[in-house]
Amino acid sequence: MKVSITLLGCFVVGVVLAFFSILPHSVLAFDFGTISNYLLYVLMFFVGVSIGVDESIVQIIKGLPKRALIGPFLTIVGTSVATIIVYYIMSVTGLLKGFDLSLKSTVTVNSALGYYSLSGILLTEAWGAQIGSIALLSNLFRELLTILFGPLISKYFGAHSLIASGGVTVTDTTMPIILKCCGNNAFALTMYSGIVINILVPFILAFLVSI
Amino acid sequence: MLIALGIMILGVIIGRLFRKKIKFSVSLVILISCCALLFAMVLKVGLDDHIMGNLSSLGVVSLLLALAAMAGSIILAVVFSKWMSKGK
Repeated sequence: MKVSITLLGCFVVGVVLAFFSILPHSVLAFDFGTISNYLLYVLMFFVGVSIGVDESIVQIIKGLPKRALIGPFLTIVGTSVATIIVYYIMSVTGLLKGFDLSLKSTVTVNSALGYYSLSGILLTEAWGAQIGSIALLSNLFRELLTILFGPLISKYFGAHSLIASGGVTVTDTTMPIILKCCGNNAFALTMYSGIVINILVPFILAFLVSI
Repeated sequence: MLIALGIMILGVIIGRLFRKKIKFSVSLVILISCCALLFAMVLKVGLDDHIMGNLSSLGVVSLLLALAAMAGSIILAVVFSKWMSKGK
Protein backbone atom coordinates (compact mmCIF):
# COMPACT_ATOMS: atom_id res chain seq x y z
CA MET A 1 0.00 0.00 0.00
CA LYS A 2 2.89 2.35 0.81
CA VAL A 3 4.21 1.86 -2.69
CA SER A 4 0.85 2.64 -4.27
CA ILE A 5 0.46 5.72 -2.11
CA THR A 6 3.98 6.88 -3.00
CA LEU A 7 3.22 6.47 -6.69
CA LEU A 8 -0.17 8.10 -6.38
CA GLY A 9 1.53 10.94 -4.49
CA CYS A 10 4.00 11.43 -7.37
CA PHE A 11 1.06 11.45 -9.75
CA VAL A 12 -0.91 14.04 -7.77
CA VAL A 13 2.11 16.29 -7.12
CA GLY A 14 2.98 16.21 -10.82
CA VAL A 15 -0.59 17.11 -11.79
CA VAL A 16 -0.73 19.97 -9.28
CA LEU A 17 2.70 21.35 -10.29
CA ALA A 18 1.82 21.24 -13.96
CA PHE A 19 -1.80 22.39 -13.70
CA PHE A 20 -1.07 25.40 -11.50
CA SER A 21 2.17 26.22 -13.37
CA ILE A 22 4.13 26.26 -10.10
CA LEU A 23 7.35 25.09 -11.79
CA PRO A 24 9.71 27.75 -13.22
CA HIS A 25 9.70 28.26 -16.99
CA SER A 26 13.24 26.84 -17.25
CA VAL A 27 11.97 23.49 -15.92
CA LEU A 28 8.79 23.57 -18.00
CA ALA A 29 10.95 23.99 -21.10
CA PHE A 30 12.37 20.45 -20.68
CA ASP A 31 11.20 17.80 -23.11
CA PHE A 32 9.44 15.50 -20.65
CA GLY A 33 8.68 13.00 -23.42
CA THR A 34 12.39 12.34 -23.98
CA ILE A 35 13.07 12.28 -20.24
CA SER A 36 10.26 9.73 -19.79
CA ASN A 37 11.80 7.55 -22.49
CA TYR A 38 15.19 7.40 -20.79
CA LEU A 39 13.57 6.72 -17.42
CA LEU A 40 11.60 3.87 -19.01
CA TYR A 41 14.86 2.33 -20.28
CA VAL A 42 16.33 2.51 -16.76
CA LEU A 43 13.16 0.92 -15.37
CA MET A 44 13.17 -1.87 -17.97
CA PHE A 45 16.83 -2.63 -17.27
CA PHE A 46 16.21 -3.07 -13.55
CA VAL A 47 13.04 -5.10 -14.16
CA GLY A 48 15.30 -7.40 -16.21
CA VAL A 49 17.93 -7.50 -13.44
CA SER A 50 15.24 -8.36 -10.85
CA ILE A 51 14.13 -11.33 -13.00
CA GLY A 52 17.75 -12.38 -13.63
CA VAL A 53 18.82 -12.40 -9.96
CA ASP A 54 15.81 -14.46 -8.83
CA GLU A 55 17.26 -17.96 -8.30
CA SER A 56 13.97 -19.58 -7.37
CA ILE A 57 12.06 -18.85 -10.58
CA VAL A 58 12.81 -22.17 -12.31
CA GLN A 59 12.06 -24.23 -9.16
CA ILE A 60 8.80 -22.36 -8.53
CA ILE A 61 7.57 -22.98 -12.06
CA LYS A 62 8.63 -26.66 -12.00
CA GLY A 63 6.65 -27.23 -8.81
CA LEU A 64 3.34 -26.01 -10.23
CA PRO A 65 0.59 -28.37 -11.42
CA LYS A 66 0.29 -28.43 -15.22
CA ARG A 67 -3.25 -27.09 -15.23
CA ALA A 68 -2.18 -24.03 -13.25
CA LEU A 69 0.10 -23.00 -16.10
CA ILE A 70 -2.80 -21.62 -18.16
CA GLY A 71 -3.96 -19.23 -15.36
CA PRO A 72 -2.11 -16.11 -16.63
CA PHE A 73 -3.36 -16.68 -20.18
CA LEU A 74 -6.95 -16.79 -18.89
CA THR A 75 -6.31 -13.50 -17.09
CA ILE A 76 -5.33 -11.94 -20.42
CA VAL A 77 -8.35 -13.45 -22.23
CA GLY A 78 -10.80 -12.47 -19.46
CA THR A 79 -9.52 -8.91 -19.40
CA SER A 80 -9.77 -8.55 -23.18
CA VAL A 81 -13.28 -10.06 -23.46
CA ALA A 82 -14.66 -7.89 -20.63
CA THR A 83 -13.01 -4.82 -22.17
CA ILE A 84 -14.68 -5.48 -25.53
CA ILE A 85 -18.09 -5.84 -23.82
CA VAL A 86 -17.63 -2.68 -21.75
CA TYR A 87 -16.35 -0.78 -24.80
CA TYR A 88 -19.63 -1.50 -26.63
CA ILE A 89 -21.72 -0.62 -23.57
CA MET A 90 -19.84 2.70 -23.20
CA SER A 91 -20.21 3.41 -26.93
CA VAL A 92 -23.97 2.77 -26.83
CA THR A 93 -24.47 4.89 -23.71
CA GLY A 94 -22.44 7.75 -25.20
CA LEU A 95 -19.73 7.67 -22.52
CA LEU A 96 -17.01 7.64 -25.16
CA LYS A 97 -18.21 10.82 -26.88
CA GLY A 98 -15.27 13.19 -27.30
CA PHE A 99 -12.66 10.43 -26.78
CA ASP A 100 -10.27 9.10 -29.41
CA LEU A 101 -10.78 5.54 -28.16
CA SER A 102 -11.28 2.82 -30.76
CA LEU A 103 -11.93 -0.82 -29.89
CA LYS A 104 -8.28 -1.64 -30.60
CA SER A 105 -6.90 1.16 -28.44
CA THR A 106 -9.31 0.31 -25.59
CA VAL A 107 -8.29 -3.35 -25.62
CA THR A 108 -4.62 -2.27 -25.74
CA VAL A 109 -5.15 0.04 -22.72
CA ASN A 110 -6.38 -2.88 -20.62
CA SER A 111 -3.91 -5.38 -22.10
CA ALA A 112 -1.25 -3.73 -19.95
CA LEU A 113 -2.85 -5.64 -17.03
CA GLY A 114 -1.71 -3.08 -14.49
CA TYR A 115 1.60 -2.10 -16.13
CA TYR A 116 0.79 1.61 -16.02
CA SER A 117 4.27 3.03 -16.51
CA LEU A 118 4.96 1.06 -19.67
CA SER A 119 1.46 1.41 -21.14
CA GLY A 120 1.29 5.13 -20.31
CA ILE A 121 4.52 5.85 -22.17
CA LEU A 122 3.97 3.46 -25.06
CA LEU A 123 0.39 4.50 -25.80
CA THR A 124 1.18 8.22 -25.44
CA GLU A 125 3.85 7.74 -28.10
CA ALA A 126 1.62 5.61 -30.30
CA TRP A 127 -1.79 7.26 -30.05
CA GLY A 128 -1.34 10.55 -28.18
CA ALA A 129 -1.56 11.96 -24.68
CA GLN A 130 -5.28 11.28 -24.13
CA ILE A 131 -5.08 7.49 -24.64
CA GLY A 132 -1.75 7.39 -22.79
CA SER A 133 -3.39 9.09 -19.81
CA ILE A 134 -6.35 6.71 -19.87
CA ALA A 135 -3.88 3.79 -19.95
CA LEU A 136 -1.95 5.23 -17.03
CA LEU A 137 -5.07 5.92 -14.94
CA SER A 138 -6.89 2.69 -15.82
CA ASN A 139 -3.91 0.50 -14.94
CA LEU A 140 -3.16 2.48 -11.80
CA PHE A 141 -6.81 2.07 -10.74
CA ARG A 142 -6.53 -1.69 -11.34
CA GLU A 143 -3.61 -1.92 -8.94
CA LEU A 144 -5.22 0.28 -6.27
CA LEU A 145 -8.59 -1.48 -6.48
CA THR A 146 -6.90 -4.89 -6.21
CA ILE A 147 -5.17 -3.75 -3.03
CA LEU A 148 -8.30 -2.10 -1.62
CA PHE A 149 -10.72 -4.94 -2.44
CA GLY A 150 -8.20 -7.80 -2.12
CA PRO A 151 -9.73 -9.26 1.05
CA LEU A 152 -13.25 -9.21 -0.48
CA ILE A 153 -12.16 -10.71 -3.81
CA SER A 154 -10.27 -13.46 -1.98
CA LYS A 155 -13.19 -14.20 0.35
CA TYR A 156 -15.91 -14.41 -2.31
CA PHE A 157 -14.04 -15.55 -5.42
CA GLY A 158 -10.86 -17.27 -4.18
CA ALA A 159 -7.08 -16.99 -4.57
CA HIS A 160 -7.01 -17.46 -8.35
CA SER A 161 -9.37 -14.50 -8.76
CA LEU A 162 -7.27 -12.21 -6.60
CA ILE A 163 -4.10 -13.20 -8.49
CA ALA A 164 -5.92 -12.62 -11.80
CA SER A 165 -7.21 -9.25 -10.63
CA GLY A 166 -3.68 -8.08 -9.79
CA GLY A 167 -2.42 -8.83 -13.31
CA VAL A 168 1.15 -7.75 -13.73
CA THR A 169 1.39 -6.19 -10.25
CA VAL A 170 1.29 -9.51 -8.37
CA THR A 171 5.08 -9.81 -8.33
CA ASP A 172 5.44 -6.55 -6.39
CA THR A 173 2.80 -4.21 -4.95
CA THR A 174 -0.17 -6.59 -4.71
CA MET A 175 1.87 -9.62 -3.55
CA PRO A 176 1.61 -8.74 0.19
CA ILE A 177 -2.19 -8.50 0.07
CA ILE A 178 -2.46 -11.78 -1.89
CA LEU A 179 -0.30 -13.68 0.61
CA LYS A 180 -2.13 -12.05 3.54
CA CYS A 181 -5.54 -13.06 2.18
CA CYS A 182 -4.73 -16.42 0.56
CA GLY A 183 -1.78 -17.70 2.61
CA ASN A 184 1.83 -18.42 1.66
CA ASN A 185 0.86 -21.46 -0.43
CA ALA A 186 -0.38 -19.00 -3.07
CA PHE A 187 3.19 -17.76 -3.50
CA ALA A 188 4.21 -20.14 -6.31
CA LEU A 189 1.11 -19.47 -8.41
CA THR A 190 1.38 -15.72 -7.75
CA MET A 191 5.03 -15.61 -8.81
CA TYR A 192 4.41 -17.77 -11.86
CA SER A 193 1.42 -15.67 -12.95
CA GLY A 194 3.29 -12.40 -12.37
CA ILE A 195 6.42 -13.51 -14.23
CA VAL A 196 4.49 -14.85 -17.24
CA ILE A 197 2.36 -11.70 -17.48
CA ASN A 198 5.43 -9.46 -16.96
CA ILE A 199 7.13 -11.15 -19.89
CA LEU A 200 4.04 -11.23 -22.12
CA VAL A 201 2.67 -7.70 -21.60
CA PRO A 202 5.43 -5.79 -23.47
CA PHE A 203 5.05 -8.16 -26.45
CA ILE A 204 1.22 -7.93 -26.41
CA LEU A 205 1.34 -4.12 -26.26
CA ALA A 206 3.95 -3.92 -29.03
CA PHE A 207 1.87 -6.29 -31.18
CA LEU A 208 -1.42 -4.42 -30.64
CA VAL A 209 0.20 -1.04 -31.31
CA SER A 210 1.86 -2.26 -34.49
CA ILE A 211 -1.19 -3.93 -36.15
CA MET B 1 9.52 -0.53 -27.77
CA LEU B 2 12.12 -2.91 -29.18
CA ILE B 3 14.86 -0.86 -27.52
CA ALA B 4 13.05 -1.17 -24.16
CA LEU B 5 12.66 -4.94 -24.62
CA GLY B 6 16.31 -5.27 -25.63
CA ILE B 7 17.35 -3.36 -22.52
CA MET B 8 15.16 -5.63 -20.35
CA ILE B 9 16.76 -8.76 -21.86
CA LEU B 10 20.20 -7.20 -21.23
CA GLY B 11 19.09 -6.66 -17.62
CA VAL B 12 18.07 -10.33 -17.31
CA ILE B 13 21.47 -11.45 -18.63
CA ILE B 14 23.39 -9.09 -16.36
CA GLY B 15 21.20 -10.06 -13.39
CA ARG B 16 21.81 -13.75 -14.10
CA LEU B 17 25.59 -13.32 -14.54
CA PHE B 18 26.08 -11.10 -11.49
CA ARG B 19 23.32 -12.47 -9.24
CA LYS B 20 25.77 -13.18 -6.40
CA LYS B 21 27.43 -9.76 -6.66
CA ILE B 22 24.27 -7.64 -6.75
CA LYS B 23 23.83 -6.58 -3.13
CA PHE B 24 21.62 -3.52 -3.49
CA SER B 25 17.82 -3.62 -3.43
CA VAL B 26 16.74 -3.88 -7.05
CA SER B 27 13.09 -3.41 -6.07
CA LEU B 28 13.97 -0.07 -4.42
CA VAL B 29 15.71 1.08 -7.61
CA ILE B 30 12.61 0.00 -9.58
CA LEU B 31 10.35 1.95 -7.20
CA ILE B 32 12.50 5.10 -7.48
CA SER B 33 12.62 4.73 -11.29
CA CYS B 34 8.85 4.24 -11.34
CA CYS B 35 8.30 7.37 -9.24
CA ALA B 36 10.61 9.44 -11.46
CA LEU B 37 8.97 8.06 -14.58
CA LEU B 38 5.45 8.73 -13.29
CA PHE B 39 6.45 12.24 -12.27
CA ALA B 40 7.92 13.04 -15.69
CA MET B 41 4.90 11.54 -17.45
CA VAL B 42 2.44 13.42 -15.28
CA LEU B 43 4.25 16.71 -15.96
CA LYS B 44 4.00 15.95 -19.64
CA VAL B 45 0.29 15.12 -19.30
CA GLY B 46 -0.36 17.96 -16.83
CA LEU B 47 1.01 20.53 -19.26
CA ASP B 48 -1.48 19.31 -21.87
CA ASP B 49 -4.49 21.65 -21.60
CA HIS B 50 -6.76 19.29 -23.53
CA ILE B 51 -6.19 16.43 -21.09
CA MET B 52 -6.45 18.58 -18.01
CA GLY B 53 -9.69 20.04 -19.28
CA ASN B 54 -11.13 16.53 -19.58
CA LEU B 55 -9.63 15.01 -16.43
CA SER B 56 -12.97 14.31 -14.76
CA SER B 57 -14.31 12.44 -17.78
CA LEU B 58 -10.95 10.66 -18.36
CA GLY B 59 -11.07 9.47 -14.77
CA VAL B 60 -14.55 7.97 -15.14
CA VAL B 61 -13.68 6.11 -18.36
CA SER B 62 -10.39 4.88 -16.84
CA LEU B 63 -12.16 3.65 -13.72
CA LEU B 64 -14.79 1.81 -15.76
CA LEU B 65 -12.09 0.18 -17.89
CA ALA B 66 -10.19 -0.89 -14.78
CA LEU B 67 -13.33 -2.40 -13.26
CA ALA B 68 -14.09 -4.22 -16.52
CA ALA B 69 -10.57 -5.63 -16.67
CA MET B 70 -10.76 -6.84 -13.08
CA ALA B 71 -14.26 -8.31 -13.50
CA GLY B 72 -13.29 -10.19 -16.67
CA SER B 73 -10.20 -11.75 -15.17
CA ILE B 74 -12.02 -12.60 -11.91
CA ILE B 75 -14.89 -14.37 -13.75
CA LEU B 76 -12.51 -16.50 -15.82
CA ALA B 77 -10.44 -17.24 -12.71
CA VAL B 78 -13.54 -18.54 -10.90
CA VAL B 79 -14.26 -20.88 -13.85
CA PHE B 80 -10.59 -21.88 -13.86
CA SER B 81 -10.63 -22.64 -10.10
CA LYS B 82 -13.64 -24.92 -10.52
CA TRP B 83 -11.91 -26.72 -13.38
CA MET B 84 -8.74 -27.09 -11.28
CA SER B 85 -10.65 -28.56 -8.34
CA LYS B 86 -12.42 -31.04 -10.66
CA GLY B 87 -9.04 -32.30 -11.86
CA LYS B 88 -7.89 -33.17 -8.32
